[in-house]
Amino acid sequence: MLLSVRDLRSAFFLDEGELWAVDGISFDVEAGETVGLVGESGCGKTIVALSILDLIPHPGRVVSGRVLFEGRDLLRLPPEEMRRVRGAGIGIIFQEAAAALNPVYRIGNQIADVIRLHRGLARRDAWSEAVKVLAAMGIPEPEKRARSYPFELSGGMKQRAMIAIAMAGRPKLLIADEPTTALDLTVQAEISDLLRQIQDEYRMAILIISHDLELVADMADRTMVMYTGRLVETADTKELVGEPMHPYTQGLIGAIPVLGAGSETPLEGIPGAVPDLLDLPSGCTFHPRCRLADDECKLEPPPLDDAAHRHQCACYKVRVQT
Amino acid sequence: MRRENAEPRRSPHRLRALIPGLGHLALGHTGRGVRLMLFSVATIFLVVWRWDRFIGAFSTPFLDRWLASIFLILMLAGVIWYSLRDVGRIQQSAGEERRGKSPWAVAMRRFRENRLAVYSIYIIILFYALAILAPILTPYDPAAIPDVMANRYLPPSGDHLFGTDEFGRDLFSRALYGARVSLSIGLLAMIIAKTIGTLYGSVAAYFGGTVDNVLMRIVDVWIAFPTFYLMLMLVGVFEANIVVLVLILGLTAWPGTARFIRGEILSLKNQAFTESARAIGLPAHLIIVRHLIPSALSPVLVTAALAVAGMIGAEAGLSYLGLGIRPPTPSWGNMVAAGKDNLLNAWWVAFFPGGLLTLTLISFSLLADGLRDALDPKALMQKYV
Repeated sequence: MLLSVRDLRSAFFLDEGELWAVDGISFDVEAGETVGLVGESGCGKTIVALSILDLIPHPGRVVSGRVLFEGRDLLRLPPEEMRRVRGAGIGIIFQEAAAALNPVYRIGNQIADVIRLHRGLARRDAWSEAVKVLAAMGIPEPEKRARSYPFELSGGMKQRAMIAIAMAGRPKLLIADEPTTALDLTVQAEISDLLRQIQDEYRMAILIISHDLELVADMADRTMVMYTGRLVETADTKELVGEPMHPYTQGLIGAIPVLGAGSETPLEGIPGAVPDLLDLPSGCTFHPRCRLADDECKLEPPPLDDAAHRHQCACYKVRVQT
Repeated sequence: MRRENAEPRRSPHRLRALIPGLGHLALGHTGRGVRLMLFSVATIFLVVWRWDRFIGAFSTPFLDRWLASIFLILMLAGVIWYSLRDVGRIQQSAGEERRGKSPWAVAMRRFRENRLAVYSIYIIILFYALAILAPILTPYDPAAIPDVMANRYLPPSGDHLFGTDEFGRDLFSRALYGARVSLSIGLLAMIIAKTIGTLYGSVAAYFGGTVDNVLMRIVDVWIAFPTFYLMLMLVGVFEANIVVLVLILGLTAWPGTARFIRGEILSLKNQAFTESARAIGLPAHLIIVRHLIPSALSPVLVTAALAVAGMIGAEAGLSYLGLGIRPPTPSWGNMVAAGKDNLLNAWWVAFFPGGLLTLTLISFSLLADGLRDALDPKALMQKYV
């Protein structure tokens, strides 16, 4: 097992109270596998990614749990070794490439930094290696682009440069946090193609995080659905999309527009909105929006139980049905 | 950034550029050509005119005389190197406009558009050059006292450009040597204050929490002392010479910078590029030095220019009060003090050092203005977003 997250809990300690962005999550990522993490905005997806790398900004922090990467618990690693994991073991690409690139340095230097840091190459060699990485990310004229500043690149190019930075340390796991959200549709397709292609080439695992179920379904072998800091359903992607069990997952899938479906099949949404993480409903946090909910759901949060082969679901009603 | 497609490596223009300015003139860049030529002619003239001192410096043990002569050589080498390179650049980019695009290059272009600021840079460079070249330029020994009765209080003339003082010493020579004291104290004290302040403030901001609290409370205490009286006390305790003054001025001025930088870094450290620097495993000291400080640096540069003016003013103030540099070592401050009693009879004694001082302070202020406009992050962002 490459990455094994156990009962991870992360919170922000605000003046208004404690905000549990990640509330007891466990999952595994095997080497070379692509795992998707789906959920609406504000459900804590990004905090899962930041928790793995122990990068949660103040006033938040990982409160408990274990993040085993190649058998070592990252949350208890000395800072020196944690730095080696960041970049060389686990690479991450952020949603806003434009903001994540430093505006005052050339693209090539930002990539070469990673190479010098984690592969110990000299400045000159690191630069030519950076150009190679850019080329591998499908950037045309990589020598010229390496000398460019971020503001000279288009959105798609910036995202590719960001991926190049993440891949420059040859990580075994790439965390892609909303890798295509800020891009327009054609570029989105290019970026997801690129991710697939570099995965073939470098054989790393990918944890892809997005609100976009279609993107995740397109890329991931397995998919996890997250709601208010917890996982509500995990399954092989095909099964999750084909036979979703949790009412929330069913709602998400029902909300995807199908081209050519016609007006006789109305698009179904999920009623209500994601609750405030500071003021969560009791029991199953989804119950106010759930069509199956009854009084039982308001008492205790349902555990994530095996519902079928390699298929887990956190819902009292679903378990009763099976 | 160098282009590979420079086919006409050895063109006539390039050879002609060996004489500074000629290449530019041939290419039609008249203004720059004339300026380069004047500069090199003046340098060569200086070498020939003061040949004995220029060459004689190398047989003396005095570091400052060595420096002055080496500086002259560097000036000559520099102007040749620059004009060669510049001619090459002009030729390579014949037709197309060469515009640097890094944020610094953008700022440089904006700075050049501000004439006052550019002139102040020229004046500042000129004064520093005069100060370094003082051993070669000065007609008289600044401390030598000739026949006092025959030479005291001579008005400005061809022999004595700035006149003489009560001991018959040449004020022009003294003013140039005074420039060395005043200008070097200002620059060095600024560098000390800004370096300490920047590092201190960014460490406090980056690590935050208790570290920040402790460090900033120290700054609060430090700032609570009235600086000038602190300086008065310190120069009372330690005997004032250049080193002591630099240390006192530098070490009393850093807390302001620290506090200022801390604010800048606090807002920068939560930006996505800092987060991604941490995500690639960059160690904290490199994040601070490579990512945070450069982004916070432009306002520091502005305050640095003002700080030099402040430091020079403070040194002049202390020396004026007789607490800084003591005569016979000249500094602009103690020269003004020496002339203050004879303003009506011998106005030149106080006027020239005072005027140089004023011109220097104004130049640094205008430079700061120019830097502020050129480095304005909002204006910069417009160009590259």
